Amino acid sequence: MFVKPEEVLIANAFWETEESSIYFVLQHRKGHGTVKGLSSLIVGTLDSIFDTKPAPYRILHQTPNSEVYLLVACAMTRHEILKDWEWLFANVSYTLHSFENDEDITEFVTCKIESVIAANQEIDNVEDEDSKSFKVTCDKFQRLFGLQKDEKLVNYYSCSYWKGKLPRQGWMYLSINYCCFYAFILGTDTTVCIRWSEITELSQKNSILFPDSIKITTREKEYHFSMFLRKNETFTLMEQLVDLAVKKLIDGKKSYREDKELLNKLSKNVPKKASFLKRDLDARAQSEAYRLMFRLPASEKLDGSIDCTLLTPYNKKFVAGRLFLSQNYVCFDSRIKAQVSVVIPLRDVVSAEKIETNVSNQALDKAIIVTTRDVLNKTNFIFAQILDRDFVVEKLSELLAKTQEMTTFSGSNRSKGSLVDLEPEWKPQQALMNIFPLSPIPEVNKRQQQRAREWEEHFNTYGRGVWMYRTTEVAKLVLEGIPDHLRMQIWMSFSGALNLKAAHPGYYRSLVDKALLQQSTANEEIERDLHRSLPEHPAFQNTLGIDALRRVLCAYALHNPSIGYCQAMNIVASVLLIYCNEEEAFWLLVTLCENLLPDYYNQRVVGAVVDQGILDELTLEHLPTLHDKLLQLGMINMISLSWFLTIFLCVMPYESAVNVMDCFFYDGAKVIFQVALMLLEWNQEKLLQCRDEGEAMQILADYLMGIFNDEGRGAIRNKSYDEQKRTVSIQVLVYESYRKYGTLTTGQIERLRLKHRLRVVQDLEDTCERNVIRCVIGDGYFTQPELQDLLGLVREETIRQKKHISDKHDPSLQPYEVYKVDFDYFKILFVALSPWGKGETAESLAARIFNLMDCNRDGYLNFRELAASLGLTSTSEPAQRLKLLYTIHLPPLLNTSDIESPIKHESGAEIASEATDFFNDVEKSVESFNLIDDKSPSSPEASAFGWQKTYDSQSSMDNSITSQSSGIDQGGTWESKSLSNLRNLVQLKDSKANLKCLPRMNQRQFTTLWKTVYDIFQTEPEDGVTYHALADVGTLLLELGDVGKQFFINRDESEDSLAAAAVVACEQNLAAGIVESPDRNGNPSTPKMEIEWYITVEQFLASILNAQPLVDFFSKRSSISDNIKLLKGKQFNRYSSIEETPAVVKM
Amino acid sequence: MASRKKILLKVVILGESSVGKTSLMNQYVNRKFSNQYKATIGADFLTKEVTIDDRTVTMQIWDTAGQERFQSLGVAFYRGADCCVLVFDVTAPSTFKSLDSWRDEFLIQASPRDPENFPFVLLGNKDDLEPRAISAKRAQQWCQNKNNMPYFETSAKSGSNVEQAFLAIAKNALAQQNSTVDLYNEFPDQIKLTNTQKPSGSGDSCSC
Repeated sequence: MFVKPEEVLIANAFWETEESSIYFVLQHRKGHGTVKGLSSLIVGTLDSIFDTKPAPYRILHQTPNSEVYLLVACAMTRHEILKDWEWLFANVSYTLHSFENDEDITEFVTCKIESVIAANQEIDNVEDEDSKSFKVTCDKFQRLFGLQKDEKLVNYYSCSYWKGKLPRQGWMYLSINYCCFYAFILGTDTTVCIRWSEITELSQKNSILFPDSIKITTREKEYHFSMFLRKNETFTLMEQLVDLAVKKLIDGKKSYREDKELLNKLSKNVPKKASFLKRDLDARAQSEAYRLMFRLPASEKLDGSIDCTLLTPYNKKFVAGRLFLSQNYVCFDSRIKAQVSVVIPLRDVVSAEKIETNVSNQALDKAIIVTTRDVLNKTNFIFAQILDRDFVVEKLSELLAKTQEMTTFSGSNRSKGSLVDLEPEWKPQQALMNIFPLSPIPEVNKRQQQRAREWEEHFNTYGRGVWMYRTTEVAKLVLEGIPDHLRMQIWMSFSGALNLKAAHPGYYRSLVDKALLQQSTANEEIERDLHRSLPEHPAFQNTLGIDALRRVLCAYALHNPSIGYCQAMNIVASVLLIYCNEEEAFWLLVTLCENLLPDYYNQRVVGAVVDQGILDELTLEHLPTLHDKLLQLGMINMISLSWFLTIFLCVMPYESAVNVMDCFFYDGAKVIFQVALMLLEWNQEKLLQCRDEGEAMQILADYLMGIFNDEGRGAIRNKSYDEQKRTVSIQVLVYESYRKYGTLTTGQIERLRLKHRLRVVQDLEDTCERNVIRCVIGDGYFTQPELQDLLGLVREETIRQKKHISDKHDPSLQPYEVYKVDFDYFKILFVALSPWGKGETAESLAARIFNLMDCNRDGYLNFRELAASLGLTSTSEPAQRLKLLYTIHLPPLLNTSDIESPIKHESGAEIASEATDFFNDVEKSVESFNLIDDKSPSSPEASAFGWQKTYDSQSSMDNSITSQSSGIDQGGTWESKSLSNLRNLVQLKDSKANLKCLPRMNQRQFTTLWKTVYDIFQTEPEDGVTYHALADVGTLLLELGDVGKQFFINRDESEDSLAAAAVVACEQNLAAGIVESPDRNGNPSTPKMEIEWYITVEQFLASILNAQPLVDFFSKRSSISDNIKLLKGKQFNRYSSIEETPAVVKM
Repeated sequence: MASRKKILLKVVILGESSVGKTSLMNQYVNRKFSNQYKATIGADFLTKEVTIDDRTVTMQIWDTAGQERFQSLGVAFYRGADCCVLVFDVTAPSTFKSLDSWRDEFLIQASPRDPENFPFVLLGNKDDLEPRAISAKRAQQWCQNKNNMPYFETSAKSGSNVEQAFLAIAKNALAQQNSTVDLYNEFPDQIKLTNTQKPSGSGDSCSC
């Protein structure tokens, strides 16, 4: 690639010349490539310390009479630079000879190169192009840590890593999936590579040992980094990246995707120094902060912001602050916190125009006026002192035009929709309190009217609806409790649910129509809970209320399947339905579940557990004495679930709790923490006296149920209301909680959530892994540490492949089903970990074992199957290993390999040729396998009991019963059936009884088998005895095959090894109506076979188990952990070439 | 101020959502049935004094959330449990199938010292309803494989068998506590406690 010619001072210092002509020199950097002289070491160190990181190849221009060199081209690879070199010769070099003086030559070259650059730029003038130097760094980063090409670097920072007590100066590289560090000091390099998803804690520390440092903790180790130039920036970026990784662990769908649109928006003002990704992440963070500040939908992306003033008509003043623009909103926030803020949806804006400068009024300088389409009282917003007014107005009208397009579009859509369903089967319910009014209590009515008047006044002064001027005045009103009939409107505006609703017209109806027809677990669970939501309210003793609740919950379950339905949502939704119309209730529920209480209701209730951690931390901070006591009683985790999940609705009388909800929709989740802390503080003395958790729970439960609301209309104000123990009024509680703990901010909570989320998610991962290991360890192939190592490897791979399992916490799955490997990775594991994986046939063996063990034929082995596959070849009893070896040389494994094998692309041909040898046998095997199938101990897909039982039971008697009961109606081809039978046979430990069911082997199959055996032994050290034994056994088996028929007749009469149970099993199946009569060994009695060569698995086992050297080999227990370590060492380049690996080992 | 030593038995009720855990607890403690219970979020508990072999003990009954996603959060409530009550609905087969998982999860999270012999009691609730999906025989068979776990068929609605079931639960819990706590608990306290025994208002002394 040609670059703008620039002078280079020392042409030779760190560079080695490869080629030169009169005018040009091609060089490569010392230290690049294989040369390892001292100078290359020094250059390496220098490059590492000073971030010079030049491209390793370059071309210089030079005139014979001058010492000045001009850099004209550089490249990452030799190939590229040679292309440029050749181009120079073809197009430039010969012309140069015609010039007379050197200056002309240099000028010509410069001119020529610059024009080339200009021409190229026109072609690829891409916005998101990272700077050249950044690309070089990115390339270096990938090389240094052996990462894949798609591992994108976000940014890099100079810092030191404390290795022991010595700091090492180097560079920290932050990429999407990794945090890496590299230092290269005089020949010693220090490399650290941590995956974000492994991190359990990230914190800033300042200790004597590690001053002003960042600490990263993983399960295994702690890392300290310090001497950052921009520590805060680094830390914030790290937080952001680790949070992305953790969110991905919670929900696989949330994986990171670049957002080019977002980038273009902000790039106008941002200097292009950092990487594309860094800018992207910055923009993302800013957008998120923006959305959080104004409660906007998650899709909203910040376009930009600018300082200005806002005219606040209620006091006729100009307030300094900042204007924010995004696709659908104009927002303003005062510089002084909470003074005033405004959210104006563009859908409601009619126009945005400049105000002509008025000399008399300086304050209106550079002002714009935004007019909304409020029918009643047209509201104008005047923003002034906008420095870049023209740009803002232009941008605004652009956005407005887009919004109008959208609204007309969706409007026409809606009318079409309404034509189709002329008669809807249901009508959205209006707020239930209107249909089920509670018996009026005069004094309460009076209070409510009083409140309503206050609000009305407020609306008149500060505006109504979303675009109200939000000041501390409204906060005061909210704290006192919103009148019932205004709740919906105010909740909708402040929570941002209104924005969501406006953005999705008709969505709720279509969701409900679909959801009600569905049959799903969520719907069943919802059905069970409908009458257990708010049973004390008459609305929910009636089908009107119940039906509305069903629709809202089912629609939500369909809207967000990753949550589905979680108990507690029913309680929240039913209270929403009391005060709000059905569709509004739905959107409030959406906002609550997705924005205000993120991840609360998901499969593992992660969000609530995260917030438990936060409450614990806040208690420690504010009420340290009580914290110790609560810790001792284990209380925080008990109380917080019900408090958080229902926003106090199920622990207080709901009419009291609904006031907390008022604040909650206005101020976000921080309100819950405030109230929780206040409640704990007020009960501190009593709680400190408690002797056990029951007592403490009782104190809190009584206290909470006694919280009263004299302004509530009294749904449950039955006769016991006056008698009940009254503790405190909700208004006092809310007010005091704000007074005492109101300093908590949403930002603070978000930050704490980030920190605790990391811990909680990693704990969950650990639990998940423990469960997997607990399930699999019973199979007996590996020890716990071995399984841990293996699981670590698989987990790493699963995350790396980015096809993250969204069904991780699907309750219907066994824990081990979550972790699975595809064939490609199995091959790698097999080659690396199994003693059979060393020879030439490794891949073909792997394919057949994979086919055999892949129980559900989905192309993946789950972790248990994987452990069994590897265990059967490396740790199980010799007889069992041999049985497996025998089995995988039988059809359908050999045959299917060319029909359906996952390796058909790589080495299909090779296997196909093997397989065709046996193709003639297909028909026969169909027969025999059908037979076998009927006799099989158990069936594959057979429900939960199937596999397990096969495992546990030691008599085939039992098994045949199981197969009869559970194996009746499974479909599937003979092939998959026979495979599953073979699989069960191989895994059964009690070999004698089931050996009978394994079919015989013909000569060609045996030849292949024996080839495999030789191949496996090839990797063993040369040993005459072993090879002698191999030859002997081979010959013996060949001879046995010849007299096989004879042997069988003899043995049939002997009866010695026949387990009675097996006979029973066979006979049962005979009775079950098998037309062809098999002989006692379960083989079809085809007269044709008389003269054919065959051996049986017993013969195979007996022969090999008689040869000690072979027994030694097959009973050797190889250490999988050691092999895993080896594999991990190589893992970085494992994808370079899989085929290479066996070849290397073979040497 | 020296605290009076009481015998406190902690009992945890587990089982699928809507099998009737809350109803059973309330039927036993308050002797009434209501169809107005909310779904349990987190956990609730009630206490009841009972007399077993002339000793008054306080039973602290913890009622837990039944939805599967709360299963792993139980650990806070399982701490120090003396007996675990598993409940299923005799008319709903899926509630029976999940028993294994509840039991396993309890043993993992509560990690009692002697998991093999930790007392469980199985209740097949709603036996007033038809049609039955799980026969008594099948439930008993399951219990046999689980260290001969006692099995009761109850109806929280009619109250049938509830008293007997909880008495058995209390006995098992007490036996469990004796076997583990006696090692470091002095007897005098317990004797003192039997002395202070007085007829309790809950009325279980007159139950028959």
